[in-house]
Amino acid sequence: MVPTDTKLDPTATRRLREFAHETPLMSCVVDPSGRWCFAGGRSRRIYITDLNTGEIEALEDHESWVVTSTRWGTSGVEVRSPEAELEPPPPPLPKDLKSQEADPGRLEAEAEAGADVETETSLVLTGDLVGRLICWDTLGPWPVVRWSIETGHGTLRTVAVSRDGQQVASGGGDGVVRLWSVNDGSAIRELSGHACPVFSTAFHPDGIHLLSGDRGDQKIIQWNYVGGKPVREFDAKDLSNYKGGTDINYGGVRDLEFTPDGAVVLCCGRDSYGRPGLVLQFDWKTGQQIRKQVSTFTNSIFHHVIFHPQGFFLTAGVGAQTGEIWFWRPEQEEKLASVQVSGPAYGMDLHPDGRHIVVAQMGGPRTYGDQGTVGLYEIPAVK
Amino acid sequence: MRGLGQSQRHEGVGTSPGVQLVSRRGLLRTTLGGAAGATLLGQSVQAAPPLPAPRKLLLLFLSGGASQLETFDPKPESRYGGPFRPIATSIPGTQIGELLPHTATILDRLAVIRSVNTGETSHFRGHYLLQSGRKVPGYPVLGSAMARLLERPGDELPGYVTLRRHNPQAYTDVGDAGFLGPRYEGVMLIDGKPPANITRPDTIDPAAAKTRDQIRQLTNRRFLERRVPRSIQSYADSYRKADALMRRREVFDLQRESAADRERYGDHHFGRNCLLARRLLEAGVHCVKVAHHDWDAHFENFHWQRQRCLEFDRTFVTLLNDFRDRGLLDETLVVIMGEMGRTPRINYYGGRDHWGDAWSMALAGCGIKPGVVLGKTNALGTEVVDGAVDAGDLFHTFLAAMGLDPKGNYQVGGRDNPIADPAMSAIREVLA
Repeated sequence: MVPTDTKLDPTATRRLREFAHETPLMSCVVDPSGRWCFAGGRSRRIYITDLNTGEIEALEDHESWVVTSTRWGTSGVEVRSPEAELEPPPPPLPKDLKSQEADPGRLEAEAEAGADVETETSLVLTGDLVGRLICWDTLGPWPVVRWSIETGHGTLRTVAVSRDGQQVASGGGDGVVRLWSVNDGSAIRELSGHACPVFSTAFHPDGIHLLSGDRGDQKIIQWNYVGGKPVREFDAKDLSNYKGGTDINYGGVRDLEFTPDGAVVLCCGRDSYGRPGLVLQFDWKTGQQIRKQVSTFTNSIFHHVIFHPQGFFLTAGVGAQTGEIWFWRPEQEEKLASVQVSGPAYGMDLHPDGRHIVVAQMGGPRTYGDQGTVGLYEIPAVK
Repeated sequence: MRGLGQSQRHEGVGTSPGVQLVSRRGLLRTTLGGAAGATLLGQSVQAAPPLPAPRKLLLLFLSGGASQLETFDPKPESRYGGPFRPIATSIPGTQIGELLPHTATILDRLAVIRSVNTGETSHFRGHYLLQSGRKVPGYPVLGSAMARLLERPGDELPGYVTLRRHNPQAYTDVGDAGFLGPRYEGVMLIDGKPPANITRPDTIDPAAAKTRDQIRQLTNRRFLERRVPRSIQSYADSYRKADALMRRREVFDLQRESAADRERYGDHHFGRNCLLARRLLEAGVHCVKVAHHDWDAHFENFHWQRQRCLEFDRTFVTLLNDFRDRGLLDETLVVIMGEMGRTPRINYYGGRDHWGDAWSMALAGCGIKPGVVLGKTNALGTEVVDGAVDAGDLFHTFLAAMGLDPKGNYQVGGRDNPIADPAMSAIREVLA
């Protein structure tokens, strides 16, 4: 439930608490009910943290590092915000409940119900670096696997859900965008057009189009995903990051996002070698770049951009062994605010209540991180 | 002048001024059974048996330093193991990284060394060390040594050709022929292009050019009669080399290879250069070095290792199969190595940094015992715990596999200079 009546003040963003993890973290997402944070990093485990009790459960359903995640839920899912203070942990769930697959009877009932009966859906999708994509059902007392598939990307780098919750887009090392049924993970179609790995995807609110951005050519392709055809390309060369000495391009379209009305495309990454993270804005109608917002976050790269319903947007990224969240207004080049977080911030998600942010961070000794934390941040109301 | 042994097959031929080859084994053999009163040099040249087919060397240099953990020495259970899984190979019980699925199918044709410990973490020093087997500067790198040691009468093409991309220049331009002199420097082909200026301009009449060259040679000979020849000889060598390149320029033309072959090798620098390497070795070049760039993944190592392995894996196996099918593998040593490995620990940028203490390389072809996996690192991959080898040992091994005597000497300015570091020795476990 995103607040519309309470005006938030990003400049007062503060850390509420942190949850220590055994491994450096690279991705995180809060489930549609706001109860659990799914975080992944440099291990095969997915860590599910109860944001109210601080309980962390590590599951081993993945085969490699979990580096991408997203969520999708129906509007009727009740959202619970993190409390200011941690609650005492509840009695542990029986082990068989935590390990069971989603109840097939309920899934069948949902499928048969069709459009006539409203059933709530609350899903989280997580992807790993050997191509496994897992869909978690988070409606019950404990997240359970709805389906788990091998995507064929080699390395899976990005996953997004269509606005109607019917299709999942995935992209990765093979440069192909693949569409899957949210219901059962069955393949729908493939979209081929990138010559290098795909690192970002985003569905347009119009329900017809999808964007995908790549790592090597800084190319964004607009697809008619319903018809399976490319429509046009956006030139995001300002996200190119070439270092001549080693002839390596460190750039790439790291994340894609639309404004709620779909009029503007946001994408993020890095501004040439050794320069700071930045955001590019493109006009959806004309396809032209309309703004370039460059941070002063030294040696950084923005890995995530999220538009907030109150009209500002957030970016999170990694600097020289540091991490920061930046807040921006779409129409102004200077930042609205920035917050330093505990470590390099590879993952970020906006809590469904709109008032909290979770960040997947790395920590540990200088240079070589060997631990991680999920940071929970609050955007307070304007006083 | 010291004599040359028969074990050095090409003695007295085209030797750089001031540099001769002396083999202890050959010297002994020649001395014991030699004809009394004859000079060793004169005798050995005159009495040499028919020259056997020369061996060749292909060096696939993974420039920047490939990650041993993502290639030949995976550590799936280690916290430093990275995101990729190990896969089974054609050697029962041996696994390598899943990024090399094609290589896994032919691993029984390779010798893998998982215990290289050079301690060297500088690109520049590492490039020189791994190619010369020496820490002290001034020695010839492998390609130049091969150009010298395998030189035969009538050689037209350069003995050593190095293939690389335009960038980066820094790492690969270290050392070369050293004291062997410019004659044995590698001819560098950049971006698959033939050497510059090997086509005679239309404005130059061929007959006039020939006359001009004859005059040049005549003048040179006169000039040389009264002078120390070294620098002049180098100048003449350059002319000779350029002339040969002009006559054999088709050797560098990849378009003469079939479209199917170009597709099989891959449409990238490494693929094209490997195909060109095949062409050059078949044409008579003794040593070709192909630099495969961009393994230096301090940033997003797992993205870059995957990209590089995608290029390397299929191309390498295609090349090795071709060499086998064409009979080249029996006479060619194929060396796969870089200048270092990468840190087991992973930095904040997802990169692995430089690591010289425990890393891997591989060998195939002539003189190599296939199916051997030598050495072992500890559970984290940070240290060698069994079978440590150093760069000098590798250099000895390369020579031994080529049928050359690692204990032989160059003679430089009247003094013996060991071809390979005498303190090191060949790795018997990987030699056939």
